[in-house]
Amino acid sequence: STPLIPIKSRKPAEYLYGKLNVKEFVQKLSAIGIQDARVEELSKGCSIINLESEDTLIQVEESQTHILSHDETAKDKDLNRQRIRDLLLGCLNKF
Amino acid sequence: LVMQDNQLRLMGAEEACEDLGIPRHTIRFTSTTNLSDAGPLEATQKRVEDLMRRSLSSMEYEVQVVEGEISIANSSVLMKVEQNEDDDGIKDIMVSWANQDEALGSTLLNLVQNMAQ
Repeated sequence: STPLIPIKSRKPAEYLYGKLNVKEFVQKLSAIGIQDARVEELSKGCSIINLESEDTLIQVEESQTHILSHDETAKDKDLNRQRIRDLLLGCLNKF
Repeated sequence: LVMQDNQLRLMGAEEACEDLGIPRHTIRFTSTTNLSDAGPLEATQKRVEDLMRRSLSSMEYEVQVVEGEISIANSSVLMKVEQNEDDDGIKDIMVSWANQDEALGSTLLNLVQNMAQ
């Protein structure tokens, strides 16, 4: 498991900006084997991506992305969340 | 460090983004784990709270509890224990955190997941 990090050793924040390109993100998910992404556009700039095989919902808004997952048995599930996180970070601008 | 009108200014990142019209994007994670526990909700809440206090005591993180919701001071981490809607013998433990607290959030999720096994 990840070692606990003392508060003083926390890394400085990484600032993310811009909008998420949902199409690009879904393509990247597919490239790592998550191919059942179902995208529902709720309004302009606002979508829900349903990853049924991962028991995960991703709410995308102009200035926020929220990843909600449910772990029945845990363990490997968090690894998948971290892979999704890495992809997401690769799709956003940062400084 | 921001260059404005030929002058350099030191600004907080939030303030600089607002000033320069840079649209910030935040990422938040919310993960829910099931825990087999037929006891009263308050007892499970206390178990989770105690686990957090024990695990974080040497790390200078301050565990706060307000109306059953656990948070960690100076971080975006929130935790909540709720009764599962379908099964009286199961409690749902939700751990939520913003991307900048990934290390802390994923560590606490891991602790809760180990508790569930």
